[in-house]
Amino acid sequence: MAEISFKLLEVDLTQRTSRVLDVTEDAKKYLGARGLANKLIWDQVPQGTDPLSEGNILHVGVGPLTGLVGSKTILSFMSPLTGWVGRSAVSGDIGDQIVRASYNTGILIKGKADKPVYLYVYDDRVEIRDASHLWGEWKQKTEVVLSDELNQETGEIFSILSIGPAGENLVRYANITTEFIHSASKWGCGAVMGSKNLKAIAVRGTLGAEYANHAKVWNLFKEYATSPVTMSFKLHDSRWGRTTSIAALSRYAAEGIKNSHLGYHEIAEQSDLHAHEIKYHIWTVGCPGCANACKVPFFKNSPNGVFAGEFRHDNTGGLNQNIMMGFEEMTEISALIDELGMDGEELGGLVAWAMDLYEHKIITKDDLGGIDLQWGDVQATCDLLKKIAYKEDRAPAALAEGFRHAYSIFGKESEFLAWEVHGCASPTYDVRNKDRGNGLAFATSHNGARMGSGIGSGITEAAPFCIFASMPLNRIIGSNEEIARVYLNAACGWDLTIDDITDISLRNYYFNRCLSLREGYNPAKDDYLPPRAFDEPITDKYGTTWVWDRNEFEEEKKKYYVNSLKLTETGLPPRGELERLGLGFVIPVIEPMGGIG
Amino acid sequence: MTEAKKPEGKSWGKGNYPHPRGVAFIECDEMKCTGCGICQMACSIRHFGVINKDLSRIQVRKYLLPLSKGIQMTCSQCQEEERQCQPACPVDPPAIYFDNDTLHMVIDNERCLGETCMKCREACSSKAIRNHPTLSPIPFVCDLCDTENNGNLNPQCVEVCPTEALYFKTLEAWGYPLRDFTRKHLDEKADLISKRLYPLPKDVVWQPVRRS
Repeated sequence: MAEISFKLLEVDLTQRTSRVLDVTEDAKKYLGARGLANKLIWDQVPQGTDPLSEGNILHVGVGPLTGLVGSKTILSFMSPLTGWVGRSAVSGDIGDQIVRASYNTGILIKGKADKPVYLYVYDDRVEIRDASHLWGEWKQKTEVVLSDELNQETGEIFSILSIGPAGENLVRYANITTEFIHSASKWGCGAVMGSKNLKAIAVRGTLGAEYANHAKVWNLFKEYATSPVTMSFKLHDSRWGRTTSIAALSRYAAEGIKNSHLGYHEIAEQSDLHAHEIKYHIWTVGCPGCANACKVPFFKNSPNGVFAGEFRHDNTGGLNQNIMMGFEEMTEISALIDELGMDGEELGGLVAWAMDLYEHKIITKDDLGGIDLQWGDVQATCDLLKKIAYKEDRAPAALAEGFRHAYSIFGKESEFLAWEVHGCASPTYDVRNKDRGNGLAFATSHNGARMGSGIGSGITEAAPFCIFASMPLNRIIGSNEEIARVYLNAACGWDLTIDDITDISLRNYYFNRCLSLREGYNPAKDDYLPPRAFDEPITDKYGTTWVWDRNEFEEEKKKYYVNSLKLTETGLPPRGELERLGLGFVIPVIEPMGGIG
Repeated sequence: MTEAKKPEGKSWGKGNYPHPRGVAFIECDEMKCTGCGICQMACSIRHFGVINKDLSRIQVRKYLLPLSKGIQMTCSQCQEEERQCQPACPVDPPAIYFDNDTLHMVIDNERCLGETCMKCREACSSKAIRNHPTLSPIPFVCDLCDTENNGNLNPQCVEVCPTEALYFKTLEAWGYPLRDFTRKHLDEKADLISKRLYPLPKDVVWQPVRRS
């Protein structure tokens, strides 16, 4: 079976040029998306580069399985929030369109445009176009106006990634969305896009993906799409989307309540996904290549106005009861966050912190530009969100820069009330909860306190595939590694063994960690939990209490490094493994910084 | 504890339905469509041997209404009195026609004038006749997967649709076989569905302004 080739579209906004690169050799070693992106960042972003400068890159990454097992696009960049390597995943049609335009490892965006532009990609037609009429617009208008323009011009529907005012204003956790309800929210990719004066990326591909054996791929795919197992997952996903975890975790003390002070409060009962579904679920929508579609957008026409969006664990779970609200209020707040273009999870921590600081009189009404920021006040929250996006007034402008910058504005006394790890808000999967929380995973993450930093992502985000779309496949085929092996061999014409897949996964994980180590990440100093995780126990609805003991945490962390992350006891990648996996070239750079185990 | 009895058959139940008798077509249930495009993959692999949604007879688009909505459309295999494509063909006899023996539309590739003509597509109110400028300039239309034109109808899109949003059915049993009402362009369907979001029709830009 002939092997396929891999192509990367490189766009230089400074020079206003584009070219197509053959990256087949790198793709064999790292796969696409986040795997290839490690190499691109290592080679092209010099150590110490300001993430919001021209020198940063934005890789809109896809891979051979984008559009086959869900449709994942992984954006990679240096994060303006942490200063370390960042990545953010987004679903929707965009990745499928990029693959169908023949760029099966994605689009690499470099440089900075001298004025607002958008990127137009229609198969092999690549243009950097003026976006002055879109600059300043909110998300929905941006996407609808651009979509209509391109539809009138070409007769086609383009998939569009765009930023809102928060991205333009370089809010450090601004996001990028597509189809309005799919968000790449983590670690400030929207600010990176804004720093390049890039308002949107519009893609339409008609050439089709290159597969080594289309029939073989189709047979695999058909088995999945018509399997009763898939149907059994769809029955859940297509009705509830990902709202069930929010309701469950807030009862099990794994979702922040009142700035993560509480393990349970009756406010959690107002996250009633059943009521939400019956009242506002408008239809179900899914991604290309996914049979168990899990997007369940809501539409609400009320005396307060008209609100539309979609609840996701990541955009709702960490806000909601953390600022003492339920789903009814969140419809209005979530819709606004989507419009402004910010990470709902980061805001979950920051807005709750601001309410806490206001209650404790550490910030005042004057600091907030006249907002009386009480717990559970929808109007006050909406006013604050807008001020954050536009960096207006002292406190909102500080919040727009994230926790670490805000400490210097609000003072030392503000720190104990903060709930963050690595400078990232951590309102979901409460780190104290050792059953359903993510304490060890967040604390040891070289990206920041979010999911998707472990070894498994080395394959799922490089192939890449959607872990929700792959849930039926876990029963039909097996582990994620086995799914990757079977699909990659059919799609790429390779003959990979499960050991090869494990090595790729480990290689990508180590490489990603090395990028953060290169930028100053130090596990000995940075892998911590907030003080309250040790001093403030929480008790869930059913009576279980959670808190960390400091010695216990240190011991568990060592075990986690070694057993779960294949690192040394100090959280560093072992020299022998780096050499074995062909990553020896990072050692001379990382070693002087104490980054090699 | 008793174990739930497993249903027989390999597919989701729909695969066990009998095929319709007589003149049949693929009906789209738009509100069930999630826009996954698996029907398109099935169509292109069946007819072209490759996975390429732009070589598919059935079309799926995602519209921003402004919420994202998948909508599908394919040929309605119209009745003679309502058929628009066949009378529009400039070739005599028409190169696109309904085959009364095999009961589906056929395009005679040898006589079709190809992409320079496309009068059939212009005439069809749903634009169900497709072509691809580079990969297949010759137009193609839904043949209910009877690629050999021997009456062996077995539409693959219906078989794989994971949401059962496509029905292989006949209207004859009900006595009213016209499908004027199903024969709508994707854009028209999108406009109609967007009414569900009043006051947010898709051409009106909206921003959530909370009224106190």
